[in-house]
Amino acid sequence: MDLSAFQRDNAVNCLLDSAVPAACRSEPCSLGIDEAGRGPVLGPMVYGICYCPVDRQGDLEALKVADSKTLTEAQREQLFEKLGAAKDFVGWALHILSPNYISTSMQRRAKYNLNALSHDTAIGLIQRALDSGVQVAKVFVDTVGPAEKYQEKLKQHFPDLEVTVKPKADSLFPVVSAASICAKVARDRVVKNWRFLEDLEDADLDYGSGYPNDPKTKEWLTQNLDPVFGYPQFVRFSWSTAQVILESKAVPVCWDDTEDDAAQKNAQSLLSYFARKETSSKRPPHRFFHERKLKTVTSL
Amino acid sequence: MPAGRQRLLEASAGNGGSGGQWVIVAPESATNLPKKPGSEPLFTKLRNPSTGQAALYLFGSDGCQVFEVKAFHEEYRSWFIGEAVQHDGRLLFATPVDPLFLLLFYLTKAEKEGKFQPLDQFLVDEEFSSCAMLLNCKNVLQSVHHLVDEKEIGGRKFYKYSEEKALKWLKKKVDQTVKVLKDNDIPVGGKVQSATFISGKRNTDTTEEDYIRYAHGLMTEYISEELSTALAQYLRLPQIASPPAEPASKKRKLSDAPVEAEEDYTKFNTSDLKSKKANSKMSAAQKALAKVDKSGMKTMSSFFSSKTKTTK
Amino acid sequence: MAGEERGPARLALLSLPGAPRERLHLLPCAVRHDGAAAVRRYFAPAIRRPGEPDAEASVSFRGRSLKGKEVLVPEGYMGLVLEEDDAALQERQVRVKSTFESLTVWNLEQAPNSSDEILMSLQWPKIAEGVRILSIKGQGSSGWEGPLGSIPSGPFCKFWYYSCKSRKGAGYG
Repeated sequence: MDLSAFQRDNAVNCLLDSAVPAACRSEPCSLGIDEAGRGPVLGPMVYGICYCPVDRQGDLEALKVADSKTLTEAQREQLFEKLGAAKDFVGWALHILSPNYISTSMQRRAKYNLNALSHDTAIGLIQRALDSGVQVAKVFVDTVGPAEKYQEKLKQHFPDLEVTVKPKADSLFPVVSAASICAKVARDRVVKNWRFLEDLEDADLDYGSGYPNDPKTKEWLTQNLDPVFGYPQFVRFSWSTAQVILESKAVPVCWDDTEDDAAQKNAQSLLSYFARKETSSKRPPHRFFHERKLKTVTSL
Repeated sequence: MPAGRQRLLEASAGNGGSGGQWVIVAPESATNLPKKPGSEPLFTKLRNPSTGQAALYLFGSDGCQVFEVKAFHEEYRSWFIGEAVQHDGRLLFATPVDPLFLLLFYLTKAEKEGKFQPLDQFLVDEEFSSCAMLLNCKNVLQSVHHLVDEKEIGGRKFYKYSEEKALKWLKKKVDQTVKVLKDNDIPVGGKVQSATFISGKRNTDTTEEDYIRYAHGLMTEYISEELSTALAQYLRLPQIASPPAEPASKKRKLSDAPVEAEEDYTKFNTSDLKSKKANSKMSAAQKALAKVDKSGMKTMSSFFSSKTKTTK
Repeated sequence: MAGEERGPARLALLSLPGAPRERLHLLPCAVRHDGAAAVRRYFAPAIRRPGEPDAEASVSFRGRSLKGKEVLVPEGYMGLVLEEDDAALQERQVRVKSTFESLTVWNLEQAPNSSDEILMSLQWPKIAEGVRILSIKGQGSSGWEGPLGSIPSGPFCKFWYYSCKSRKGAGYG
């Protein structure tokens, strides 16, 4: 797994994948999808797919792949090695969603929620496998949201595929277990060796697991707050854990689509409207100035 | 901490306030070193000649030039300046303004008395004492004749405002402005046509009248409402029929509202003319108008048409 | 407002020659604070700008995506950051804290284009000068020693981009 492309610029997403085994081009395949790092307030979220010919799922199971959460980091690394050794019939692909992408997508003007983001990423990975010649026949997906809706969405996109969306799919289907291992290994490696693109020469790297309930993570978020910028891009600003700290301890920042501020502003402009009426009966500025937001300055 | 934060928020509530720091774009010539000691550039308040209300101006070194100060001001803007943040996200512009406009305000005000006075007596304004500096501006004394009738008694010069002259001068300003608008491809027709603007092509629907009307509107920012009305007549700007739904007088009221309204202000400019009743001031304008011969109008239109041909 | 009561302020020109040049970013949000900001640590290194000179730059601030464009101060003009000099004795005084030749205008999610208010507002000096000049010979016009001897013709945008190219803008550090 070569993570150098992502490490060169972890502000943006990164796609990486194994070579497609010849067997997967000629035989119908099962494809599993899982994600790693959905919950943490730190670091990327990694989407993984893993596939092998339907007939060889037994061989995959024999590698003793299991739900990544039930394994230690060392076991996952070991299993990832084994998947690499089985490259004649097992292929994988990963989509690393940078924390900056997650923050900016979820906080976009037109909000992009995490479920939609997850679904679109999964769809993108399936499509990518199809495009690279994998004979995908069956798709198995682990889900945290409502399974039926997700399944419906996937079937709409891929009417020719047999789609199974199930909670805990990562412990039920070996291809999903394998996908979860690939995703988790990538996420762990990236988080462990996070290269801050900010110029934080004395960066405190003791941030724990990144889960909001990890005391180390909490401590790190409290200690590493910049009053103006908040955090480096390593932090998901869209997580309530981060937002609560920013709201209480950082300098307030308001955007034209900040909701409570807009309400406050309306009240304010109404007040200033009346105030203005009293003091002056100003003519409106000519449109040349109005269109350029150029206003008269009354004092320095 | 909470108390400090509260203070911060209040101070910045309007976002127009300033924490003692300003970002400004100014002509290089505004920072020329002064010839006389103690006459470095001066930011001071003067009467905006259009409204009569306080506005910020900048006198260049030795008071030779005067600049008006306007600000690009958008609600949600702040600056990073080097290694600092400034909540006031305005970008100030100091741009040259003809001191005659500022002088004109005082000349027209004194006209009611109708007597010849020395120039400095026009500029007695306790609230805005800096206005006396206008007389030091380069060429003001040589060019004030554009606006006044002169008399010399005992070696002293006395002046009296002449609307006829002022209108003539303003018309030249309008002509000049039309040229500038064309040269800079400023869209003047109807609404902003951003597509036209981006491609750099002039909207073929734009008429000479649109340009004159627009230039007149710009000029109105520098002269009183009465004079603006007189100038429109002098320029023979036809009145535009305002939307039938609302009488012009109502429209005028609306224009007192804060400028957030998404409106085409050319309508307001023209409705100004409509709602304006002919008053005593107008007779002077009409007199002036009567003196304008048709050849003058011809010159203007030929100027425009030749201009249109030469620009791509 | 206290600011309304302030008197005339003298610009201390002696502060100009020694004033450092600083990088300016105009943000699409109101940061309710005046004071230090670790721009060099957090912001500048995160700016991504593609190779082409006119291409939009991108960065994020507080987890929101910003797209920006660097623009130059109009020809013949200079950018000044002025600050109140509290030590001044008799009359108010402002001094030049720093200067700038360009600024980066950031918008939320979409880069500013030529019909953006801020970019259009940068036309104002040129129009103002045009209105100011009365080029009528022999009439003793109230002339103004503008930075432009005469008003160049041609579309503003073209002029703008020319000047962008001709002056070597400061890169990002």
